[in-house]
Amino acid sequence: MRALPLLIAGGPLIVGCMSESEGPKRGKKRVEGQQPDAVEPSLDTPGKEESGSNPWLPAASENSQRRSARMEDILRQRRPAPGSPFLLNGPGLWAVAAVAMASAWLLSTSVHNLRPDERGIVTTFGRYQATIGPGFNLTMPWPVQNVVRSEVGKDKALQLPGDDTETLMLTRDGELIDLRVAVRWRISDLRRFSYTLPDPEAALGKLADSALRAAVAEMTFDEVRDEKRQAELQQRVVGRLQRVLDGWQAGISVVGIEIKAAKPPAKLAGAFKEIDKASQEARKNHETALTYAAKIRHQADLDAAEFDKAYELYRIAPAVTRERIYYETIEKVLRNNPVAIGNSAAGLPLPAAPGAKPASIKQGGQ
Amino acid sequence: MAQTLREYRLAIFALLLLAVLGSSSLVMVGEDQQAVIARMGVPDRVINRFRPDQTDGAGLAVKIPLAETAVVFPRGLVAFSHEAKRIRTADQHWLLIDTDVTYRIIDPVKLGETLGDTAKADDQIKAQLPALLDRELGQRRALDIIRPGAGGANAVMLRELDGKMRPHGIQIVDLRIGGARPDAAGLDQTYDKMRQRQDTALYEVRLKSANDAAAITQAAEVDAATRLKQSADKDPEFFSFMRAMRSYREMYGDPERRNTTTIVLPPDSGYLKQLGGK
Repeated sequence: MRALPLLIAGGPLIVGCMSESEGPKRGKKRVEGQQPDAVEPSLDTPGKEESGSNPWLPAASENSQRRSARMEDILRQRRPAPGSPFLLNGPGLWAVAAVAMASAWLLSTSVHNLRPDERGIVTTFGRYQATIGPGFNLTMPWPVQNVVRSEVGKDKALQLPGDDTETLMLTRDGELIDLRVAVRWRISDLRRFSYTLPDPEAALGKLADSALRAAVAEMTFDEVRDEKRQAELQQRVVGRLQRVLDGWQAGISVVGIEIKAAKPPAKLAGAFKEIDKASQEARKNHETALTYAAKIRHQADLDAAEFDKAYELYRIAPAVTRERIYYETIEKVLRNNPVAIGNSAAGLPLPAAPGAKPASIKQGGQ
Repeated sequence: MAQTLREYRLAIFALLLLAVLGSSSLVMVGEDQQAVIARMGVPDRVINRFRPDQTDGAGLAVKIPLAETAVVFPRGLVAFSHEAKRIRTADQHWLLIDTDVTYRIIDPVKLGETLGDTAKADDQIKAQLPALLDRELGQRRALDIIRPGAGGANAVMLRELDGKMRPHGIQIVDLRIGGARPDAAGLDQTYDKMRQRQDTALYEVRLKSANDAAAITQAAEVDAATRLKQSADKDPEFFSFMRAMRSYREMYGDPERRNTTTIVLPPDSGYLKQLGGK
């Protein structure tokens, strides 16, 4: 089928070339037969020839004019006749078309230019003949020999499932998982690949699906979803798949499988989303707790260090230090609040306010 | 054109006749085909019959025109799928089972005589499978059926189906459970079970998170208290005084959060005592 456009494109091109070589031949034939121009209408547009007043035909006499008349004929033949899109008419056109078709057929079915990643299976009347490699190859034309090309150098990818529907597989713990994978494979033996299975890709798809289900059934739902465990799953599937394909001599080599998605069933998506959200929240709470813990530890360190510093001074001069700290505190408190002096019950009597402390402050102040 | 046809009509007729005779005396057998040549309806020979490791039968073969006919069969593997058979497992689950069968025509003459073609062979397999599946899978638990080899059932079913198809010239190469899934009721049950587990998991995640945060906080508080106690133990009385001073500063001494409280200092307070000149 690949050769078809070439055949169509080649057609008119060759017709154009042939018309030039055909023209003189016909003219010569006419000279030998001494045929008058009146025979031509069968070849050319009828009616046009008969008129003696044709401006392209010199009205002059016989022999000396015959040569130039021949040239005129050629020109006339090459000029498209009114209403006809073709350069040639009648049997000539048929002959030219036949030769053109034959050439196109020969060219397109016996010359094969294969790309570097292509191999071709050559069959003679259906029988395997040879495998041809990249580059320029010549075979006998169809229907004697036929070439089927295949890409063998490239890895191919098979998506499972083919359409984007949910594929639920049962896990070992009796749960369902929606698994999407891509199987990467290549042709390892083109001849076997061509003749063992009628539809190798479909067969591979079915086998891969079955192998995948079997491997999923050996793991729990959480294990299949765990990306760290997926390598194990992939390995099992590839191993089993390859063993069966080798047993069948299918000429297929499985390069690997890729897990595109391992999702819970769509019907339970909400419940799983909630868990994901809760897990995220848990992580956030953990972080918050850690931050808070660090903060209170730090604060305790600061407080303890502050006390230790004050205590160092207090140890050397207890009364002075105590008094200084007392007055510093009172100053700060009174500076930042309205103060009234008196015995009114309204307001906050300072020494009474912090409960039992005033006693010690009083002592400190003395 | 018409004139040419008239001139060569004999030659054209001869050519056509030759083409017809040629095509009916030759049969083209592809590499992936095997052909049974029957003479007056009686199988006579097989072209390109399948034999392991023998691949030289394909190509052009000769037959007697009109008297012999060729019937073509696939030479490679043939795939057949049996979908959604409902099975009750030993542990009382209903499963829908897809079965993939791969076979090869090892004797096309027998197949032609007993069944006819591959479509009829498929029908035959389709007729045999349900009883086999019921019997073999019915005595196994659901979780065994979905495992590789279906807990040995695949091998048993392959042997039995092979035995039944051999008289038809067919060898069963492979039989496997392509897919097993719960039926509609089982599906709902499975969903319920999964939802329940997710609910439990959700509760556990939240509980664990709360416990985790509490544990972290508590450990930090213990650390903080221990650190402060270390200092306080040096002089508990002075520590208490310092703590009170700090509390006053923080409650009333912060210019940022100014109180509207009016602080009343009694003239005889400790602070004003010195003001009285005492």
